[in-house]
Amino acid sequence: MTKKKVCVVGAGISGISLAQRLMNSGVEVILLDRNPYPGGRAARYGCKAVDECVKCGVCLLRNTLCDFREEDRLRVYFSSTLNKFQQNRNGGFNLSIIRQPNRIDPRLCYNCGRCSPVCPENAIRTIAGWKPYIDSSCTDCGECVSVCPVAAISLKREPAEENMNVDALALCTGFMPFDPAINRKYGYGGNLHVITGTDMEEFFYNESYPAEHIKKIAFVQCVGSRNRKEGKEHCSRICCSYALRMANRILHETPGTQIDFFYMDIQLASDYFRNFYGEIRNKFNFIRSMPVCIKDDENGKPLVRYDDPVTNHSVENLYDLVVLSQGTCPQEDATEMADLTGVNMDEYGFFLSVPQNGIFASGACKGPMAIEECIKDASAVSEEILSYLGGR
Amino acid sequence: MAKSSVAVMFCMCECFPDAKKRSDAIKAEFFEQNREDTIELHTFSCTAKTKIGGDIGSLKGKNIIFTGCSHLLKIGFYDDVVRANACPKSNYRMINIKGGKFDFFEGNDSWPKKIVSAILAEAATLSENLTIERETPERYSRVLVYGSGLKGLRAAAHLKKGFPSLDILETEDGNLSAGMLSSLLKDKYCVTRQREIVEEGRKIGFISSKDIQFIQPVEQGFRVADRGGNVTDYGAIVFAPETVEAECTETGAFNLTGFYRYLLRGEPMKGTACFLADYKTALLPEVFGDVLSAAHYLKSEKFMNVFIFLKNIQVCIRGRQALYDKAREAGVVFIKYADEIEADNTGGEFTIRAVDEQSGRPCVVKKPDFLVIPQKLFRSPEADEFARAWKLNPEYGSHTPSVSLFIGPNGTVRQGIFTVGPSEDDADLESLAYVLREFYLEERQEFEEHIAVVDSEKCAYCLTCVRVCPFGAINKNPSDKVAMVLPFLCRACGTCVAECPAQAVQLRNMPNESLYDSVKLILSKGDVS
Repeated sequence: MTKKKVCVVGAGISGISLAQRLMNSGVEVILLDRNPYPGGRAARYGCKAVDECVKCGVCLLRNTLCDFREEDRLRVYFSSTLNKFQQNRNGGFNLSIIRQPNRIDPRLCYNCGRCSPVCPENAIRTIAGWKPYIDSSCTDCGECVSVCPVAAISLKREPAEENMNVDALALCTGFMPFDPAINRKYGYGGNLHVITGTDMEEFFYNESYPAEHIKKIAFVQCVGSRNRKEGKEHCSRICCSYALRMANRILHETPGTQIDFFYMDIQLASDYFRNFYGEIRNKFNFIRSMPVCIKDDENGKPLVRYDDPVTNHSVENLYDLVVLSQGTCPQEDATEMADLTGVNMDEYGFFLSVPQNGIFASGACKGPMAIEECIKDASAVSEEILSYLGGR
Repeated sequence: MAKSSVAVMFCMCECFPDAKKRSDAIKAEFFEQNREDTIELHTFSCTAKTKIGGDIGSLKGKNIIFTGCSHLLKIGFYDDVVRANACPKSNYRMINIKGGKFDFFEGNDSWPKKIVSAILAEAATLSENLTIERETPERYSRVLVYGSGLKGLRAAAHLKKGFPSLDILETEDGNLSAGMLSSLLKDKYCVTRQREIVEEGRKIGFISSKDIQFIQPVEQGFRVADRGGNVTDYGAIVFAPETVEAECTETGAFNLTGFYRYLLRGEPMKGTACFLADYKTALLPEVFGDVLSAAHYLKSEKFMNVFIFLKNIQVCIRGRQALYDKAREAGVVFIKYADEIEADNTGGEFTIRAVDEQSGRPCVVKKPDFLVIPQKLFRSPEADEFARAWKLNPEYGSHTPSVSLFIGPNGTVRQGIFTVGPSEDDADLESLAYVLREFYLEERQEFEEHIAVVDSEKCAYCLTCVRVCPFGAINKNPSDKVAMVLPFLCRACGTCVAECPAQAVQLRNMPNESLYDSVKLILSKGDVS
């Protein structure tokens, strides 16, 4: 039997899980990612555990990354994009992949850590367990090249093109968080006291949450989801759970913080979250109203104006920090990807799996999904792919 | 040979002095022979039993050669660990490099060469390509889905492709849940794809729970015997219990299931229908779908006034937003109320007063013709009994605390029984096929606790074992001078077995109970300080 080959696009949590499952079943896997590191978005999320685990799922990704390595049957192409895509006569696909050069040679680098402190732009970053990579803020100054003891860094930039044949294609391109900067009413962009959920995750990831300056926080839910005016009508599903888990951790670390939630509905998306919500709901102040606008006051602190649901009057409240729980949207190049591969999209722009064609979708590119759900979905899709490959 | 399709694991445990130096020498020898590309070198410690799994787990799909230090190799200790953690079809060989007559380190300095050539010879015998087909082992590929409710049928529909021999155990309450009944409505009112899946599930063989005499565990799974004397063996049970809605305690009000039954009876209906959700129990996203189906149906087909009172609109499930939009466009009125709701039930006629939270206006619905209050869901009594008998997690819908989330269905508590939660989380069900196959591929290997046991009749009281034990696990028994093994310190490294001149020490399986018994025994003698 000749070996089957599958191309997985996107090395986030879904892509890695799917690739590992396929590889363990004897399929050759090619894993593409446009970033120079694995893990995708969730790689920079932070754990939200308090005294006990609250099942945010971030550690699942970390565990997955620890097990993940390049192998004979799993080729990882970082900094690569899918360029051309064509169905060939035997039902397989011809791919052409544009591959940016690996600027730090992983075979030579041994993680000595000398390069990252000398970089003036902080462009050299590491993901736990992996060799460092150079991100887009690099200015080609050459400082790192001079300190590298094994000459692993080269600054050449010519991309290479590679052609290959595969039997199936799996899209794990993930999602894009809604960008609140496009609407001025959220006050995001100018004011440093208005941050998004992703920024907050970054705080937790770096353990750099500035607890001592913050006494009063507002969480604004449904930013860029269930909103007809923004054109995002779908429920983003995961924001309620991540925002409440974050708020829970903040309250645990700095007791006495006042936390207000501006919300429409709390989505009880998982069994665990139902119980969790029941336990913590009395710790926070829930206001069922969406803010009309978020502005700066004269001290630069954010001022949230909303219609009070009880008195029906317009109220302005001053906060130390406003966290916008941004919704999950389809990837910005999802339409181009759909045009390229012919995968179908639903009314919100998420992919639908079309198993008959040999093109599959898995993970958050199919709709908002938590990390745990992505892993389960990868299991399910790997079964689908295997039965498709077996049937051909 | 394919590039690094073979991994070599060096044992570096405590009973192997200078292990680091020696493994380095062997690595250097590989390097000298230019073979470091073809063979991957790893070190591990056989005594850290729990860690071995992790060490091997990273070598999935590779052929493995163990170079071990002592007599572990003799007892086949690795077999279960390798099968469970590496790819089940990985081949592996063991090379004994120290202990007994195989002491490679004896004599001259050419030992690294000897070991490397032994490894390479073994590597050559290992098959070159791993052909790993995901085939279900026939022996126990029959799956029993316990429960013929919506969840059970969906699980069966998802499993059917990979596991053709599938049976559904039909229990009494199976067909009567609101979810099942709502799939009988017209397509445009139905939750997406619900009906297709139900119909697909119904094509699978059913066994009635009344015919079952007993279910008992056998070596490779479960044996189900029916009253006619037929016996069927199953490899696994998917526990998908039906849910039963509690009876509504308010007079004159339906619970959701009861209302569906009334609805499907086809009696003429008119007037006002009122759904009072989030009342005493939280509205679950999956139940909200059934509420929407019913409301939409009443509005469009019966032209009634339909009001839905609720606290949170649950649209987090895929496709639910569209259903909600359709119902709202059809004219169903949604009233989100604050925490207080006044439900006046004087004289058997209901009046609901609530404050609409969005508009702030008070809403009053007086004496609706049909009042539906969705109630709490319970596992059906029959399923509950099963769960209790098999010691499954009794709590409805809760994850078991230490469940491996990778596995998928929450709460795989007992080997071979997979519980599927009550929620409509399709990911749980869809990944079921994967989980079951992984389970089958593991071939039911269970870890066994090995322990050194001293045969008191053969023991020559020489105390060699006491001296050589790297963990200090063997002591002299003060009463009868026979060497005595402390089970909680023994890691079954095998050193004592090799060294005992009288061959009085053996490695054996140690059942947990006797372990505690011996601890108790020792403690009672006051021997452990």
